[in-house]
Amino acid sequence: MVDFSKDPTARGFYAPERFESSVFDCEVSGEIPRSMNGAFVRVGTEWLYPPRFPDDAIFNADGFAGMFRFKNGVVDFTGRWVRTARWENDTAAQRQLYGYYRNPFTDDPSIREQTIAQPYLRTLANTNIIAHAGKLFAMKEDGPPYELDPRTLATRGPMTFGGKYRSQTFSAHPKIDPLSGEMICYGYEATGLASNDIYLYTVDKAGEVTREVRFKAPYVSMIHDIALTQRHIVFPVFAFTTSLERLKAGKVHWAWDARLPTYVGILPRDGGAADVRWFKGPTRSIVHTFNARTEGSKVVLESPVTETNPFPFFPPDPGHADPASARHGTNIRRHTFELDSRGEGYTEEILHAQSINGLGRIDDRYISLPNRYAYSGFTDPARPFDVARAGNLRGRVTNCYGRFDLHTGATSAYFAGVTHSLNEPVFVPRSPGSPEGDGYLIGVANNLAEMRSELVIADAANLAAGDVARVILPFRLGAQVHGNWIPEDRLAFA
Amino acid sequence: MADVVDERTHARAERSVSRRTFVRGCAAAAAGAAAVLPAWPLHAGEPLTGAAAQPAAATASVAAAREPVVGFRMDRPYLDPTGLAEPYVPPAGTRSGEALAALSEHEFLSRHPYG
Amino acid sequence: MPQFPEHASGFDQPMRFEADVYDCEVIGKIPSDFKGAYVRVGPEWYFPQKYPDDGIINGDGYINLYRFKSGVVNYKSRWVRTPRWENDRRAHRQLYGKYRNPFTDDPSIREQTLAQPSLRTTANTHTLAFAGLLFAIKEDALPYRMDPRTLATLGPWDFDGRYTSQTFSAHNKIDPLTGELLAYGYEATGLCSPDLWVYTLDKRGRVTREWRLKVPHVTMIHDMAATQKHFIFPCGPYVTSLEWLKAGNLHWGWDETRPSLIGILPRDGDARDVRWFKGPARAMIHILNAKTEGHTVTLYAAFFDGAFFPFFKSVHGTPWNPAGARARIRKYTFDLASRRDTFEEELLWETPVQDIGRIDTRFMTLPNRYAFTAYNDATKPFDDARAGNLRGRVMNCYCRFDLETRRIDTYFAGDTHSLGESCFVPRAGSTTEGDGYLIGVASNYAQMRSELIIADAQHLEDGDVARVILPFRSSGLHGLWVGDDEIDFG
Repeated sequence: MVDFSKDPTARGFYAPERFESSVFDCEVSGEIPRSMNGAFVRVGTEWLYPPRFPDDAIFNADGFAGMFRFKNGVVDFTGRWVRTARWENDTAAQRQLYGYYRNPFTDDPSIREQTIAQPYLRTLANTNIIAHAGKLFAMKEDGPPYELDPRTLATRGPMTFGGKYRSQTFSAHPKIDPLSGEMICYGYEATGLASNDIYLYTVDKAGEVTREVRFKAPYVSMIHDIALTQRHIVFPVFAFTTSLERLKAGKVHWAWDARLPTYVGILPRDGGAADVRWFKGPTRSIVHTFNARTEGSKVVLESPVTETNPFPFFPPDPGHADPASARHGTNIRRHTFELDSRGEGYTEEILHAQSINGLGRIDDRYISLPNRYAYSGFTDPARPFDVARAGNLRGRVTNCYGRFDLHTGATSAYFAGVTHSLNEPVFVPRSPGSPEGDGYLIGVANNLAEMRSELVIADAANLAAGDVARVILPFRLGAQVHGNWIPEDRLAFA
Repeated sequence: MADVVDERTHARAERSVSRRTFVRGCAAAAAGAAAVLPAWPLHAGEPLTGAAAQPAAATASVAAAREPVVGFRMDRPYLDPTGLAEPYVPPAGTRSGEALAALSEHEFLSRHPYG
Repeated sequence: MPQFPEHASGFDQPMRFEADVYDCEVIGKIPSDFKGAYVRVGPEWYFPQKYPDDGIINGDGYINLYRFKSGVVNYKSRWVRTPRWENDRRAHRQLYGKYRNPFTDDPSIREQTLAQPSLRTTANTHTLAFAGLLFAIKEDALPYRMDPRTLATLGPWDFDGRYTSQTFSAHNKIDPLTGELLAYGYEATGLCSPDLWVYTLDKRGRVTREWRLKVPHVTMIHDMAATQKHFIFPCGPYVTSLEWLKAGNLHWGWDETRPSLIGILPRDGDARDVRWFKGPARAMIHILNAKTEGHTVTLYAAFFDGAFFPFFKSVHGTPWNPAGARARIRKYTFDLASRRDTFEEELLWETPVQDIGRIDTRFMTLPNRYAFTAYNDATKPFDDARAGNLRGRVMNCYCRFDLETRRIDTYFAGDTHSLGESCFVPRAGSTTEGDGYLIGVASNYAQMRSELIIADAQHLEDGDVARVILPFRSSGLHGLWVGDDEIDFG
């Protein structure tokens, strides 16, 4: 029997969900653009059984995938668990066997020996969901991706890439080169818990592994995301760290360490391990990137950047906390790396002072290429919020999507509503050849007053005008991490 | 302080753990993992546009003295073991029956003859 | 794409989804007697109603079940995939018109639905477990077989061709002594036909007897009672005709000038042995139980004071009166030794109740003592601030009503809940009437979710024994407890 009553965060809109669902012919207000054929897929976290430790990371909950299938103006929704080995084991035991986030030393004795030896068996595949080479898969950076059936979201199993992908881990943020169709993917801690091994791969558009590079970083860190240019790959290494000692002591995988500098590794796409160049800069959190480009001898990276620990559930050890003077909030910054220089320094420039929530995207057709716009959720406390119906969250929920012009500094905003909390936005091109930013910005809005979730669709070039259409679900959706738009021709959809 | 009253109170079966015992369990778990969050005051003279991050605990000794509080970050509630986060107070109820209040008897029994 | 009315918000929002919950949240401990499933069927609009004057009973069939196994509960819900559901899915819109009136259907299907009105069924009213098979049923067609493990729709079932009526009641009864199914269908040969065909089927599902009756005039015969010796068919004056349907009305009109009719057929007689009794015009929709003692037949039912459904308007244009829409527990006595065509009616309890009351079904057709139903106790508190202002229109209590002593024992659902139909679950190994549990699905208006409550039927005042918490709303009209010994739920 399942009892979440000891979890005071699991209440109201955030009460456990734990259900698989199908909605045929979703309710829609407005009209679905006829060119939108394909699917918006998303993945996030949902505790199948309550966590063993109440202070565990929210990222340690089971993976749950959702798909809004768009076809000729009709939308169907499917929600399914990602049935990882961990999900299957917990289901068979009817309880939570797994301990702290990415720490098998804290697992139930019945599984601990195995999970210490093979920590990738603990993966939840709960962070991102993408399509490549005709396959749909969900992933988390601690293990292999899990392939899902694009018609039903049934779990097919872990992906092996024909045995040529040799890292134990995969990334939640591989990059797909829009020109070549190649996927650049990698795994850090590639050879085991807290190992300083990064294995980098190129997978061609048919799904075949064509390159492998193995290298190490200045310290073991969360390399959650990378950036891609037409000539280089960019690896941010920043102030989260781990070690076997820490894990054996039974702690959550990561600790923030504000003493650590940021290192950014830059590797030519046709280079080997010896060609990695590490730049060094002040302490930053660069969990996600927007995009990067190579301009002559410069590599330019644009990202949402924070100067302090972004995750309260990965706290610092004593003495390693952010200084009192540290500046808070996340905003869009540009880092420029001069490859002709001798030193290890780089420049940082704040492009938009607006504090954003850090889950942002670009028009993915421009990954690795010069681009103009970044899209991100942000909180605008000046907008109305219905506290009586949705709780004391004015100034705390993400209530807007912003389009940030990286050339001019201009911004425009979409407002979701007075009781709404927005998940990550995704850009959908109006047509395959339409210009950058010509299309729709979509994302899931939680309607906190009506206990339901809604997929909002706005004109990306006219955010201030509000919805073009909105899909109304008859229930809440659970917490989302990332999502993507998959065009009709990329997968064998239903 | 956030009201963490368990709303599922209808069963006569054994009640869920009280806040006091929960806090003890939390402190025990926190002892195993460093539960100190950095001090995050705003940078003087440099107002941020938009929302600022949440302030949190100053020292470990202060942290141990306070009960955990349900805060709100990344668009979801989370448990702050230091007790210093701004509490999240959800609405007391969804008032989901309100939608039926305006219905006439005719409309009500046409849509909900059996409640 | 479907767009529902703007005021459909909160608990009134359409539900329209299929779901699976593995290992439901539970408060308390599920009694070990629970080995089987609570199966529920009800109406849910897949696409919105075509006509504003239609009623919820024309919604698509929706089945859900709570599978109890080894103390763990799994929940599953699915659409009943009738031809109507499949056609609407293909068309991506509502093709079907008013409740049981094919004349109001979309032209693309109308010819077919006029010729075979049973093709319009939504199978949305009740479930039945019989002869190892599980069904979703509406009285306008054959029953639809459902796979008990997956809730996949397997199609209409005519019991190997021997069940010849086009229609099958949602309230057929199982004789607990023989395991026979006592079944009937009215309008048995087509739209508005005066044919009432009655059947017995043995416990293996084989038709053993058939009676073909004609009714004096066509009325709704939604439920029937049975005793060890008699079938009883209550016919309140909901009437229909082809002219009424061609005029574009919902299937039934209410004729307050006609009497109610109650037909009694001896189980060992022929069709011509039926006797029709007359009484005051009441909506006679559901029954509790009946018994035959000597030449006296006694029927217990919570019939309405007048007309119940507002959408079945008066054939004389009289406005619907909400005062008549109150059901109260009544006792009906028929003296078969006399020649009179009237019966005695006695009001047992003044308080209006949920007319979908139930008994311990091991005592169906036999003398029994207890009726279980829901009612509104206006003296109990309701928390408008958390649940919304329901204006007192909640069923906040279950009662066990003692038909002999009229004693009332009460379970209070709490100040934010309203209760659905109750269902009695026997304690394992018990033989005493009412020794077991009372279960039902409650709407939690404060949390906007549904909860299956389990109470001790002999100690309702003690509150829950256990409660299954769903993470969303679930809907249903009628349900049954079905044991593992009856159906293989997997």
